[in-house]
Amino acid sequence: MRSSDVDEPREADMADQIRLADALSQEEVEALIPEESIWAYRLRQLDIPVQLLRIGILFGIWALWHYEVVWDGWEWFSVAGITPFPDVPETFRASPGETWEYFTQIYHEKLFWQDLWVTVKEALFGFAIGSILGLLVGIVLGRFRRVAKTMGPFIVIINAMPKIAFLPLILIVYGVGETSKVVLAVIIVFFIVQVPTQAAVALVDPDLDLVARTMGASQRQLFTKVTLPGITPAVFGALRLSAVISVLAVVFGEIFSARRGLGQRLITAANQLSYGDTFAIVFILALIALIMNGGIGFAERKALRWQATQQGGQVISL
Amino acid sequence: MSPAVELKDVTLIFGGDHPKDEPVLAVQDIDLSIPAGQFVAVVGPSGCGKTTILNMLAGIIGPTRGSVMRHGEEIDGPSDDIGYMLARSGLSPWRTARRNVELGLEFRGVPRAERRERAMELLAKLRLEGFADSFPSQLSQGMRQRVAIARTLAIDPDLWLMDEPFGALDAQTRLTVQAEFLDLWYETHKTVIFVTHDLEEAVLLADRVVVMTARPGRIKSDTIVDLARPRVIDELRFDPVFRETEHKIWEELRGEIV
Repeated sequence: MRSSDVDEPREADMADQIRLADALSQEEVEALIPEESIWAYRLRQLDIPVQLLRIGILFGIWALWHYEVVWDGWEWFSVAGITPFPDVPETFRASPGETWEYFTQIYHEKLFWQDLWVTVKEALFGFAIGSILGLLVGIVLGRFRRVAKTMGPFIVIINAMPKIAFLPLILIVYGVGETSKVVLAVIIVFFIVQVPTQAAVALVDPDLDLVARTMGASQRQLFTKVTLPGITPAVFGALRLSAVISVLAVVFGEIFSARRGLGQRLITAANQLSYGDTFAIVFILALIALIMNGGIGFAERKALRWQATQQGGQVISL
Repeated sequence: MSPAVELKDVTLIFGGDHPKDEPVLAVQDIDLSIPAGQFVAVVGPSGCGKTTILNMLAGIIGPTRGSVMRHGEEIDGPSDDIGYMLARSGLSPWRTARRNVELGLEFRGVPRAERRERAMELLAKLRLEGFADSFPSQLSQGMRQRVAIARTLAIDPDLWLMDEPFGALDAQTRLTVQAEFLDLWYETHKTVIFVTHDLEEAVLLADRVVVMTARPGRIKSDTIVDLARPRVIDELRFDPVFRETEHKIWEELRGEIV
């Protein structure tokens, strides 16, 4: 008789935790919840309509590009002297074919791979150094209120400056080589990580802090077991953003002045009116940023497994 | 022998930060002596300084005047033989139930295997052994509060400070958790100071109920609860002695609340 153990008083909050098998027979469970094969489940997860729509949108973009619709602007639409959709002259129009051609050419070109490596290296160094410095300074300022009070105005003023404006000065100090691009990326990435890290330290749940202190945690233990895990979600959010921004900073620096790198390749192609090549390089740069972002997303899923349980099994990515 | 906890002529004033802020008299002239092993409930209107007393005993704040002592010695900072439990569970969301229970033991450098064993033993007593690897977000409010009880007791504290620990639970869940908590206490018989705004809870659990006045908090009455132990609280609620005691203390408390 199953009814005997169901009759036992159970407290309200345990009720939803009673295992199905204890309360219902196998047949009853099957009747209530239809079984789904693993393939049916995967198909449901795939969500065919969404995938079809995505393919449709991709095809639409290609069609607009291929049939040169995007190049035919609305010259007549002009507000206060600003014409947002101008006609692009025939000679500057690049077709999807020309863009694709570039990919097939560069595959064998040794110099391209050197340029790619230069840009990737600069972006990685800029990202790593800027993030580490931002993290350290953010933690120190978040933890020590008087240091934050002292340094606050200086940080706010420097952060308010458009960091790109430092580039001419950086080029004078570091030259046109790779170091100048790394320095630019470090300066930009630093603030992207420092500001949210500092805020996150200040926002760590005060209850956790109180509980840990009354249990006799040392300052070091408070830091490693309360503060550090508490700020991790915010830090990962900042790192994702700074990965994309570090590529942006490095490419901007290369376009401005550089010996090698994809940014230099991009501006050269543009100057030669090879717009197919220009497009191709933009895609390659996007790919670099996406791979870096993906790497951080992977680390994030490992580090924040507890969060996955809060969001119904998914760590939000990208 | 000196009492486990003793407050002598304790007054605490929270001075405002700004010179124009009015200083607040939180508690005034508190005299309270608690022998080791006594379960004392503190009731009073909200804002009467109940939590302030717990914070002084936990060594987080010091009195403006008077002395706060444990075993005859002045408290001069947090110590690791106190268990402090809050109404909000204060669990680390990134730790599983078991690792939350282990937190205080980690602070003391207890080896992993020993920590684990102690945590599992406590979780089992609170009927949570099946949820040792669940994160707090996967647990109900009542289960989280039971994990918090296990965490508080894991370090085997000499003094239990409870700040409305069951205040956030619904009536039925509260009754079960209270009973479990009382059983755990009965096994160890440590000194407990249990702050609550629920008079029924105070009388059901405690040996002695201290009523505080509205701010500034002073001790209005101090009543011994003459009910045998071990107590079966869901039956005790209908006991005439319980009813009488609750009524008597209610008369004291009423004046402060209304």
